[in-house]
Amino acid sequence: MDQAIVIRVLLTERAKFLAHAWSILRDEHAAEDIFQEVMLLAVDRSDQIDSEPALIAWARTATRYRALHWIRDRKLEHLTLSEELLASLETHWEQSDDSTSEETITALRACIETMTPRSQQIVALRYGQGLSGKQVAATLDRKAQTVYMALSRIHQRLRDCVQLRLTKNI
Amino acid sequence: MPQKAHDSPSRNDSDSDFLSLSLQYLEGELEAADVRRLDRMMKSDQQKQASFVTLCMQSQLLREPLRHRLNDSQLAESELFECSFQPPVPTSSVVDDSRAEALAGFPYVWCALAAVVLLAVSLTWRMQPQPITEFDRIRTSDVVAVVSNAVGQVTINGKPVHSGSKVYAGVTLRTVSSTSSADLIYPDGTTFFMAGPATLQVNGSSGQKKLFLSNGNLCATIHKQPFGKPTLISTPDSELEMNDTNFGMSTLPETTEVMVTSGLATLRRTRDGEMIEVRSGQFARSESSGGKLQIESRQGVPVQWQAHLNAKRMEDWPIGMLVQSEISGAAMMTATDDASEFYSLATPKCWTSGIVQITETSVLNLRIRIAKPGFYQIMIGVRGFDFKPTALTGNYEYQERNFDQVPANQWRNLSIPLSQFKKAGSDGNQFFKDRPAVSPAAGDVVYFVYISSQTVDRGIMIDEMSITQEPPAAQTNRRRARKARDQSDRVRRDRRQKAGTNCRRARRALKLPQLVSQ
Repeated sequence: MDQAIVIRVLLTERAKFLAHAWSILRDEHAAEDIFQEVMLLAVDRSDQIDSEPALIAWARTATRYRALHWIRDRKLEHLTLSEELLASLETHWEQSDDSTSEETITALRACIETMTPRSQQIVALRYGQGLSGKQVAATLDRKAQTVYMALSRIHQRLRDCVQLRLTKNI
Repeated sequence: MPQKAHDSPSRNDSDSDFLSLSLQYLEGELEAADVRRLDRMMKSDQQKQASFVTLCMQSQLLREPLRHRLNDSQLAESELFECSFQPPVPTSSVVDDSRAEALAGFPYVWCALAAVVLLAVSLTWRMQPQPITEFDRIRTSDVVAVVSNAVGQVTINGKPVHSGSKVYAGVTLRTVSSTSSADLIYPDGTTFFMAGPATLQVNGSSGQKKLFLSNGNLCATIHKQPFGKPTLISTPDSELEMNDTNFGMSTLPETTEVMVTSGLATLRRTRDGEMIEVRSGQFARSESSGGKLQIESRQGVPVQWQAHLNAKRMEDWPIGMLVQSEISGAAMMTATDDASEFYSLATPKCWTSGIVQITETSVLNLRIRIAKPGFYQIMIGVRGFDFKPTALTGNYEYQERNFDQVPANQWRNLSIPLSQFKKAGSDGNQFFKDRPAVSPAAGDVVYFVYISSQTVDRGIMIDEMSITQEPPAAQTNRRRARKARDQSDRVRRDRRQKAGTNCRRARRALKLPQLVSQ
């Protein structure tokens, strides 16, 4: 594959790889580093990769292995999910390829607009301003557990709404 | 938001508990025992696994687009609050002078004892899992970006590079000549386009981008950066700080110019620390010896431009020499470009202001005389109107048909539609006619014009140069002429093919041996 195409494909699906790395590392900066390493490796091996699906599958596996290596190097295995479970999650990551990040973002935006102002405020604080659940709780003068429960309900509703929009192609 | 009909309250509550635990896991808030509990919950439940993956995806996607929706002032406030990051100083290597003198007086036995204790503490410390510091990140990510769309002479630390080359922290990337350019792409999609000649030192890590533009022109799309780590670009006289910004900039001797087309940039003059915020649609110039920093509104780019070459006009032109000609007050001949030793002529690089905005009917007009007909090329530098580096940003080239058969020493008027220019590719050896017909896009901006006969002095003189709008009648005539030319080419080709077929038939009829088989 052409190196420019490799870069374009990986950048287009950057959010998926970052999410995958983040689910193992729980550190967004480290996830960025891993994604960068995988991208450079992909550019190096572009002549051995012949199609977009093959590139995405290869990059996903490379991301998991590199992230696990990073965890092992720092002896943080006890704070992350087991390798067995992570391998089992691969099927679900593959299913996320059915829709592009761009489609999901569009659906997410539309779904957020239908939420209550309170829910929108929590989402804006957590993801817009990058505050942790505890910091959001302190800002809103609520208990941390209350905020986490509110966030989890928000995510449940977003999941259903996005699914609906993607399947009905709204 | 409608709930699914089959979701019972208990199922929803159980889901909420699971998602709440997952959210805390992703934030790194869970202890080992809770991580194991989460692990057990998911191992036997495919639905929970799917929910976890969806949660990760949603959280990642929400982080980026939502930050774009916050207004500039909110962003500026939060970024400025966090931007005082300083890498930790390794204090263990710093020894205070007075303490060193005091220690020198200690008996040797105390020193030996202290050394043993230090060694033991150090070993114990090293055996514990260490927190990840900024230094670790820089070490693990020495490769910070890749070069893409490299055209012409592009080097890293003086060595030629090509598209796909890795860029390590601390190297100097150079687009050497007027016609060279390159993209620098970071893994987060942040892209810098360097229009030659330009010199950029790449520092920092993937965590924070730090660059030093010592000379030349640059434009970039900087994506949302990690919290508190805006992109920093220094020049010999100023510093720029930006995040989620689209901008173009120029480093000239003792001057830095910046134009922002979306987002916000903070410009600081090094000499006196004066600082201003440059917002979308604004232009600012920092002169090391100048007065107060001023913000100006961005000016539009005209669609027509004309240059009668005379002494006053030529003062600003970086390459070329003024000579007197017999037809008018002044004309031009090619001179040598120091960087490439090419005989060439170039307009000033109007990077920030632009020369013209391209339309579908833009035409480059030249009054030209060539003493020794032969190869020469005309190039235009093109950037996006909003400074976004795209696949169409870069140099475009035009070569006159049958350039070696043009009349010598005769003044001719050429009108070349910009749609006939082709994108200069990374493969400099490819013939102009074989290059794909990728022409500059309407709406983009021409920022310089360059004519060169490369290393041969062909005595090229230019009297007038302009970019105008071609009238519709001229377009029709040109289309007709092109159609007629293509038609005659086709007829000639068909005749040649027919003649070839007839020869083969005749050879077969006479049973003559093929020349090839002999």
